[in-house]
Amino acid sequence: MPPERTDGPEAHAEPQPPKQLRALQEDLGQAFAQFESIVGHNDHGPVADRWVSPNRSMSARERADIYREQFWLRHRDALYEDYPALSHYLGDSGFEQFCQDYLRAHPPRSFTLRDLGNDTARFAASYDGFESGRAAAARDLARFELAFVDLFDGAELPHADPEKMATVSPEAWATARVVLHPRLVLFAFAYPVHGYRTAVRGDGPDPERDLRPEANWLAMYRSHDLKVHILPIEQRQYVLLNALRGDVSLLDACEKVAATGSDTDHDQLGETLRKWFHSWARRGWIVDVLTDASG
Amino acid sequence: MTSTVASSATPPATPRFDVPDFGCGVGLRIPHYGHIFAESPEVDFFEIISENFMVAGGRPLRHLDQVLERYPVVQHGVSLGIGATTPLDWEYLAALKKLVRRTKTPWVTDHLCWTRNSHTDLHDLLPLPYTEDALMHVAARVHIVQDYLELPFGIENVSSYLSYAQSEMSEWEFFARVVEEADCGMLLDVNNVYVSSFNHAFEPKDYLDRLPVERVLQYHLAGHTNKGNYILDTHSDHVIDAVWDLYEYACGKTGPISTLVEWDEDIPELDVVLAETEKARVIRQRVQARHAS
Ligand SMILES: [Fe+2]
Repeated sequence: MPPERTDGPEAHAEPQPPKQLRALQEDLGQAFAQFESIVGHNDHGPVADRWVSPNRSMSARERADIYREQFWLRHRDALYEDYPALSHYLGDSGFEQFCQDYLRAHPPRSFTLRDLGNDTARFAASYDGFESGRAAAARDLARFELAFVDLFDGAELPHADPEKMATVSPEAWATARVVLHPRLVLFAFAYPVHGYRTAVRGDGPDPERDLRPEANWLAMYRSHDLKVHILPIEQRQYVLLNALRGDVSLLDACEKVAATGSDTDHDQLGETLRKWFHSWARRGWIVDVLTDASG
Repeated sequence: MTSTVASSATPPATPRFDVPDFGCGVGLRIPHYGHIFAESPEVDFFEIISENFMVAGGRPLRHLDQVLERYPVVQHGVSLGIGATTPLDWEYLAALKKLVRRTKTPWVTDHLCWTRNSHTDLHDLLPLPYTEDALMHVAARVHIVQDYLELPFGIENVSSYLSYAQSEMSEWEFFARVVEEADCGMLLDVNNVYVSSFNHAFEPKDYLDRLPVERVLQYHLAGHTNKGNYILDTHSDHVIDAVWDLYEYACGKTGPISTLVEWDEDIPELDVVLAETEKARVIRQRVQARHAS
């Protein structure tokens, strides 16, 4: 029954929306997407009176307020779901205040709730509403939990060709550039966020709300079976991987690592690096090695 | 549940759209994945929320492919916003069409509502005012969407908690005229008819009596939450008897049509949801037997 048309938007003249319908949606959309009851609201109360009819048991404002409340509950619950550790750490009232302030600054604009938290880490970084003493850990948690959402359903990407890596000659390795998997996420945290999130999500009792500082470095990645993994890494690995991501040669990146270590480390660095690269390749973190020969 | 429902006197309408009757299915929900993949339970078909799978990759699409290997899947959307006054979202439509090719769904549905304005995507199924202008606006947009998707498109009636001072006609008249004007199908949510009949004090059978039943592609059934002075469409419970009665009444008009039980909050074991589909199956058989005799 539908006529054969496969062409895109340019071929479809969309109707001009009726003015009154547009005004209704602009007015009520604003009344619904905020967090104060419409019933006694100076601006949104009259908006509801203008567009909405009362019925036997409810005023126009009360009926409109059902949708406002649903807006809040739906988005709050979506954030609770994606940020279990952050919400536990902040407590309900702290987290819900954070959610409202976040949603005010970043009203949902995507068709999918999956994108709802896209700006949480950036927002948290400069948010001054956290309870005193909790901002630093909260910011670590927001960064960490947002990365899960991003990694969960991102596109498939090519994996490394192990044969190509085997053909790189020993001399070529020095100037080679190692291309890391774009979905490998590297973190330097001041708080032990991974253990905390695992405890919150586990079957055991919830952890204390407090978190003590403890510097740690993590790599987050998705394996071939599409599971998301988190692996603690050493600070030196973090430095090296970050340097490689900065598009410097392997030699330059290794020198950065050497500069951070002791003499003993230096002696053993060659062997250590060999082991690291081996395990990174095995995990799929390295997707290509570019040598002069490969251009 | 009760079984004393007056059937409609006329024989079932012949569906206008050449779509299969898949029987009685359930919504595909994550808490049931373990059961589905481990035991391959007998389910006539699954309905997916399209948006949950309009993603670039990862486990959602892998799980979907596993389901597609074993079951028919139909697609149901929540974010099209066919009644919104912002332009159609062509990125969204392109992603939807891509997913349609993957699932091979024989029809696509979404709701008779608006979901966003120029500021915000509200992620809600907001009712439209029942005006001539809104009717023509929605119908024109349905034409575009249906042409683009190259599949029968069905609009679902929503539950609503408010009515508009500007409305010029009843909900059923609006619904019926939109689908006629747009020449599209209907997804008839019987629970939504019931919820709205309570919230707006109308007789639900009047609603069903006035629909162009030959356009119904699919049924929805669900539970709801009675808040006292209004009912909220929560999909959090068993289908109530009054809704089963309405379903039987509607089936008498349409004949057997793919029927889906939705359960989205406080989701129980799959077997509990499947038991609801068995109730639907019994009703369909009873209606068919009545018409055959
Ligand atoms: Fe529905």
